[in-house]
Amino acid sequence: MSSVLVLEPGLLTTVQDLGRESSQEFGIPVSGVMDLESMYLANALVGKDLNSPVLECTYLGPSLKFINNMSIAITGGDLSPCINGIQVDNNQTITIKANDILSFKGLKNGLRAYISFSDDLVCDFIYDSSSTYLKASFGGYKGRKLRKNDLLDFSENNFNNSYCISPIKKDNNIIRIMKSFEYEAFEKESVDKFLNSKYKLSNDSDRMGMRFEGHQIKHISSADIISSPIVPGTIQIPKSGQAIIMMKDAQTIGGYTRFGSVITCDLDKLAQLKPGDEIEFSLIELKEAQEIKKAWLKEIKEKTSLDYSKKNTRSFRAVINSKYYDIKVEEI
Amino acid sequence: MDIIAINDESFLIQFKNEISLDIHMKVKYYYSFIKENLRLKSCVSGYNSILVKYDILNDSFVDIKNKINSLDYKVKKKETKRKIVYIPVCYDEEYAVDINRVSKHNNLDIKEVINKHTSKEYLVYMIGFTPGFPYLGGMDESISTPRLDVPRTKISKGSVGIGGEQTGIYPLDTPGGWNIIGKTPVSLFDAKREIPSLLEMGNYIKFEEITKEEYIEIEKEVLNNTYQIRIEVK
Repeated sequence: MSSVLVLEPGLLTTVQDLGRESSQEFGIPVSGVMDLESMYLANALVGKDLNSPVLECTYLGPSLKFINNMSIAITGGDLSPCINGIQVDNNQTITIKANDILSFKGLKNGLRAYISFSDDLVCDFIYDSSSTYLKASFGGYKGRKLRKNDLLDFSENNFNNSYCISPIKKDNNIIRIMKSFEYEAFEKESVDKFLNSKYKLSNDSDRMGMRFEGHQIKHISSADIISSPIVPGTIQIPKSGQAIIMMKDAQTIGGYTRFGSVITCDLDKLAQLKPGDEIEFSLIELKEAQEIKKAWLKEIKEKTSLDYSKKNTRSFRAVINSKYYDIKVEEI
Repeated sequence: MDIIAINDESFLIQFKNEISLDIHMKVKYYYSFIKENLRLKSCVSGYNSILVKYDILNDSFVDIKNKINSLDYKVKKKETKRKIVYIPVCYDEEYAVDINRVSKHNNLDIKEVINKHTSKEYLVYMIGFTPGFPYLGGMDESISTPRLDVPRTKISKGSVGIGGEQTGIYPLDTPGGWNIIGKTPVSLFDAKREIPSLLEMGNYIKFEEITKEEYIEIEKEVLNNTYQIRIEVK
């Protein structure tokens, strides 16, 4: 058994994994990480199954005290991680020694960071997933966000390697969408303007939905439709004309007209937007969307296919130019 | 019937644009077929639509589309047995912030709105929106009221609402755009149960008007796990 003590919980830190696909018929949303690529990379860096539960940290990261040795990795947004007050980088395996404290100095880039652990987190696995569904308080760590003095327990794994993975390069401000068959419900001029304007993320945004400020889309008549299932990425437009993109904790069924849906790869981009950030929408067809997804899956596979064979190594930690580096010396 | 791609890994099967028992039977038929024969990532049904997710690396959208299109649907005989679940609702103004909007929009007084809402048995077409939320059909058209122009960021658990031609109950605190006309103390969702939802597709429900005192009493019983919900099989 190994443990991690929560010294400070951060703004919104929850346990998430891939989410729940099979319980949507009971009205339970998918949930899961907002940034899928970051979860995959974080788990690969610590030798875990790509779908293992991670901590999703929003805006203000937590402060965690490690009771035992283990390895971790931090991916996604740059919340300025530090080990014992010394800066450390994202996207690499970090060897943690007993009594180390991981903390975050503040948001530099993106919005959400992901922490993975080489040991297996003990958490609530409900309806096929460890993800936390906050609105109904189940899953993950007691169905809620982390609080001060929470103790995370793990069953130990023997992981001793170190890796670096660079994330996929992407244009974070272009969000690619496929149009919905309800497209005809909107005034053409308004639609053209929507596709050629900048949109700012509003403060009224969270894991359920992201609202955008900008050109309000005009309906030809009604904004209501007969309620119908949605997916994360669906763009609903109520009468007010303000676009709402449904995200991972969104309701399973929606009743407002839909403009279209964000392609699944670009959900990761949305996950890293903070209020005030600007985006533009770009319309694409199914064929291109699938090509993009297949290329993304291929790239993820390449980046996460690491050599986990046990090596004869000794690890050292060095501070170089005020930053922590893990150094592994391998006998050859 | 149309089959339309939604994103790179999902599509929607869209039936005729209406809420009716006939379309409901058709949805149930295709839904069962897909769940039993196609083994795709997920399948969620609506009033007149079914959303399906597939694995882009293993499943071809075109093949799935062809399989679904080749199904031969024959109109089924209507089911005769009904399971009716009675839901107690308090329509007092304190719990019914939009009942005035509904009454004004339809030129009815509040008492008439309540009578019309409680006089019918509603079919549960599907569970969705949030855990345990029943989408109901059969609401009297004369109390239809458009959804709010700007949805509220919070509607409290147990609220009963009208959105367009539809009515339903919110099992949890959630955002929503429906007109709130009452509140029930009964719990529609429990994560500790193996089947988390109180209601399921195919049930019927009937709303029963209760006073504020009765509401508080039932609320206590629900908290103590002693409340017995009234169910009738006709």
